Amino acid sequence: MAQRLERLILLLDHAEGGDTVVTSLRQPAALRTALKLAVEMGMDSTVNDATNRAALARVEAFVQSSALESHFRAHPHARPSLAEVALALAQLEGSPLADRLEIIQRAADEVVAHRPDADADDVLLWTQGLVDHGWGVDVASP
Amino acid sequence: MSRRQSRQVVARQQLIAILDNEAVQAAVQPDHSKHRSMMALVSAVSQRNVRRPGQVRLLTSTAVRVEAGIDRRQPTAALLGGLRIRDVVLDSSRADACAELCRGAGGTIVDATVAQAALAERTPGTTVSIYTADVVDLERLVSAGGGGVRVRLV
Repeated sequence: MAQRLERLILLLDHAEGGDTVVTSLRQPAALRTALKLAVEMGMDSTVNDATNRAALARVEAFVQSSALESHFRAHPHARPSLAEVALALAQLEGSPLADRLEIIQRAADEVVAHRPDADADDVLLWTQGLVDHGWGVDVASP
Repeated sequence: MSRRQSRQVVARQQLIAILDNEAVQAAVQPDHSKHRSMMALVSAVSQRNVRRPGQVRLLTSTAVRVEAGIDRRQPTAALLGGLRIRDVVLDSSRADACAELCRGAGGTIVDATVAQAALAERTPGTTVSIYTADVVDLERLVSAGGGGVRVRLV
């Protein structure tokens, strides 16, 4: 794993509950006002919390994605197919599409022809479309 | 609600995956027979988190890490941090809840920590799943704790 990614992971591990610093942040004025209003409406306890939580979630997602790519570069055999990832997402969600690998596989094959950077959500939406149009055995709504 | 609308509702759920011993080992060991399968799960989590930051969390219990012999200070465990598989720490109140689960359903201490970690995450709008090689024991423990958690075979 690259040194910068290792440092990023280490920092992220201490990002919650660690030391704080005061920083200036240039934001669009309308966004700042929208944040204040959203906090008043109950989105978060403070504007500060809202900003930090959003930034933390974005960095967490970036680290997770970067670590996976780094791992797959070192271990190409470990990289799952798009259909395998979509099936895993359906199972995680408890979707009725789970365990229907043959339909998901077809959807994965078709969707990349239209969107080469398709992800698992794209595949599951395509799969649902195939099911809605009667391809394969019907799958009940949850 | 149409099926496509129901797909949209499903896609907005908070999702939590709790990894038992074999699932964690499969995640961090590239030569494990189920590594690719676990990478499919982590990739699904990652892709969803890129779309909706913070929507899916991967957890394990500290007792699982002890049983699996995974020491976060060792380079071999670096992937655990990178994949953002977080620890659920066995504190005093969780230990009480685990003891209660064991009294009601039997099972090992480690299984009880996994079941308790999952049961504690149940909230409306959240789907919690356990990934384990020990489906029967975990289902029994989850049932003893009131259910509401999916148990999936790794």
